[in-house]
Amino acid sequence: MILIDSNSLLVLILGLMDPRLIKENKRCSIYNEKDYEVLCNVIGGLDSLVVLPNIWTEVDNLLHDYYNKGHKVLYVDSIIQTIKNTTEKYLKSSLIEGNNAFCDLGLTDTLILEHAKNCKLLITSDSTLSDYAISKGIKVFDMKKTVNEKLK
Amino acid sequence: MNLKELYQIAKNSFEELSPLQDADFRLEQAEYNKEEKVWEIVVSYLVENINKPESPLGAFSSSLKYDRVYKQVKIDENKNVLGFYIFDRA
Repeated sequence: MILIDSNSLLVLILGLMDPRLIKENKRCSIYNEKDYEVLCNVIGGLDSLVVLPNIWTEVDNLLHDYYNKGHKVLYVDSIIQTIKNTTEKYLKSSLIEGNNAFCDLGLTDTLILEHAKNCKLLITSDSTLSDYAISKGIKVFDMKKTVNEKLK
Repeated sequence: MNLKELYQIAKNSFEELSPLQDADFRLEQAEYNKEEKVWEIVVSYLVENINKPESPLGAFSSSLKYDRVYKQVKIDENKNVLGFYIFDRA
């Protein structure tokens, strides 16, 4: 399975709604339609994705109010379809006990780091999470790194 | 200005801030502020972690050899860097 973090899932949901919306969102401002296509190719199919409930909550908090205005139906359809077609994995928050990554990463990303050990790939657009994951030998598709390679 | 230009301007300004050969400098986000007519961007780069815990009791800081630092930068339309600001990635 492929584990995905909040900002990468944000790009995916916005892309499913309308790829032109990606650039308009502050958190996704360095990505474009092409990056969305690359992301889709890396994922393959939605059924290969695993999402933590903490991530769904973050993504919905980030998009819900914003899209209440002009894209409500599109947003609701896209997030429901994605939730239905991906796997949800619940991890106890107490797993962060003794994990010193928690102070740098926070609850959700620390749980991502824990579960990524059981997945074939972690997709992230969080540079710090990527640093941690790579240091633990986790295979990472780092969206930020990919985009920055093109800017050099 | 496009992202490539913003990246280069910021990278040139930060080059001397990290002594690391490969500081993995990155453009994290970029937004144009129409009212102020400036670009507000966020960049990140690696620095040596000088607060690495030496005992299990020091677990409240990063255990990695390098720390990623985030900064907000304002760049005007004439490609001048107006300032560097603290940025909280959370």
